[in-house]
Amino acid sequence: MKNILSLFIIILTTMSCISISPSKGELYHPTTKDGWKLTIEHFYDKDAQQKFKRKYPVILCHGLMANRTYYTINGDSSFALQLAKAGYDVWVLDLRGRESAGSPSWFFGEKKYDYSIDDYIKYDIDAAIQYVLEKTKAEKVNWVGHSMGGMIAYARIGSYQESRIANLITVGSPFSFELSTTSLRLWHKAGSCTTSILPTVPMGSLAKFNSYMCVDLTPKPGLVEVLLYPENTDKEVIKASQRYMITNIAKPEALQLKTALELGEFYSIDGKINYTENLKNIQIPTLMVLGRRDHLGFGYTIRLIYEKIQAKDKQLLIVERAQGASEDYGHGDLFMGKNAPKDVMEPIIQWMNERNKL
Amino acid sequence: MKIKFYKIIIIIILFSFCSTPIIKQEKNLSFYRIEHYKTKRSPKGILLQFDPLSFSTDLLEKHWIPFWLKENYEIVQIVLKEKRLLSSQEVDVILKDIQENDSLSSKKIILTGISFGGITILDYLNEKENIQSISRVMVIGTGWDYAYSGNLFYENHDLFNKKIKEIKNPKFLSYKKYLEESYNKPFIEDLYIPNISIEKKKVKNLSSHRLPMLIVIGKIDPFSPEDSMITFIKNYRQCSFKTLLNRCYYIEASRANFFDKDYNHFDLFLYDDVEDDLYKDMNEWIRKEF
Repeated sequence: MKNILSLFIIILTTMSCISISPSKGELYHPTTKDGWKLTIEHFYDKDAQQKFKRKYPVILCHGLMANRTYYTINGDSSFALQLAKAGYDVWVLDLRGRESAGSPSWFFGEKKYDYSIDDYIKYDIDAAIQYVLEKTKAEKVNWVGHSMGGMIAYARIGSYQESRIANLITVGSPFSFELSTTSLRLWHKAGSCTTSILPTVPMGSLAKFNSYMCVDLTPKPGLVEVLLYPENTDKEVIKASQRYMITNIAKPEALQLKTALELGEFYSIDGKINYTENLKNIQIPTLMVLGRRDHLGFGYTIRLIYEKIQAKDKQLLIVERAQGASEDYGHGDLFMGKNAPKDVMEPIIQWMNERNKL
Repeated sequence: MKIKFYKIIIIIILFSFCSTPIIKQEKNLSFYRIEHYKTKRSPKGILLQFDPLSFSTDLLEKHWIPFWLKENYEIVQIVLKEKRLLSSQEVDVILKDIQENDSLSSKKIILTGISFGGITILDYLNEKENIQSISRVMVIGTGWDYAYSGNLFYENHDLFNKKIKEIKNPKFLSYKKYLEESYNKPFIEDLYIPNISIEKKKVKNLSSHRLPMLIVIGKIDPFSPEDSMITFIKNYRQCSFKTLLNRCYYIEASRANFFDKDYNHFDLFLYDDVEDDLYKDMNEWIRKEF
């Protein structure tokens, strides 16, 4: 009986091979003012830099439940490498709590899952920009944020008068919220239940476990599609993202989003700052990218941001078949999709090029 | 022999319940024609639906019309002689004609907007302060405000006033091919995109209405996307998402809402299982509202 059980476990947990792994750059670990170590990975192509002479470096920031691997997972097709090829000095950021700078502990240890999105806005962005400016001697940076990586930039610019960002590119980043789909309501409930027991929503641990399984334990299509459109993403990339990219969500972070979903607007955790209201203070050139099939940064909420920000130079880019894209894009596949270099990255780089001439 | 006879009788009875033969009467009026689809029994209400503009109303006979007839609603289809959006005065003329028709005036009328035809209805709600002859409003596959960069029409003015077969826009051609692979080619080629305003809509009277409203959007519909409905939803009195007592029901037809698929514009009317998958939800809302 024991043998059968062992055999079953071995079969179930046989390591499934993943042929792709994230591209590697130079690693740095700047420290925030409140003592957290971050990770920044540097990508560049000297020849391209000399040829194109771009005005500002770029910081790429991942979303909730993800790390910097999001921008490097597709090898040469990754956004970090595509930008480097286009002559940009690229700095890919890991916000606090990500593995490369030391994972927080669940219950004990110096660093725990006790940080909120406010901490990203107040400390992490500040430390990242300061570090990149010191290294590059540039005056400002371009900021590209996917999902929450764009949200925190909206909050930083709108509520903290951040003036070191020259151009803002947000990709699938919501800022007003609706429990718009049954799937999102289910995620919301599951997150609420988990944080009532644990200090973290252990999505990273679960995803990593799943990536080693022969049997795919990914939830049914409707639920997964809140996160990405599976048909538009290579299975290998999905598997690799589960192993290398998905991270745990800290409890305060989850609670802050839960409140946003319930109130419809995004507030600081103490309720004193209405980040959504302060969108009106954004005046820098802004490109908002959305996938037609996205359920997080969906058309309805991105249009609201478009109406609220006061930038004269603002543009919405909708990635959909009817406008020449190969697919109606979802959320995660905006940078990981099969044809993302052409459908998503190319128009973003073109927009950036027009605003980064020396 | 007796048993066989009874079997035949039962089959005939079952057929009479299951299949609803379409009884259609037509009437020609000034700038439009009425196609009146009647039920055998006394109807629960009337769907007064405006010309979709983008496609022939015959297409609605595949799923849409049989479904509502089966649910015992009469349908009054307005077919325009010239494919264009109507002014509120023209809608007034239509409503007056309908009210003067004795067989229709006493019944509950659901103003129904299908595809681009719904824009006429939403414009009418914006123009008029008070509409008494209508009991409910329902739009499916309808957008309203396209005054923002990035949307299909804002970026591609050359699509207007053309049949799909006349469109030369290179970005749109691959979408045309995709549609042709999904549906039959002659149907797609004959689809028409009317002239739609991409100017900012001036909100006038949307907050004054108390008419319950049903909005159905296909998740991957580029012609009438959710982003083009935001100005309407934010301003229509019954559509405040934060009001628990609102009487505005918004259906996003997508897999994330556990529908069979992410609907595009034509799936809303042509998907094989659309009746069970989507229309029954719409019917449930109307049933509750009545």
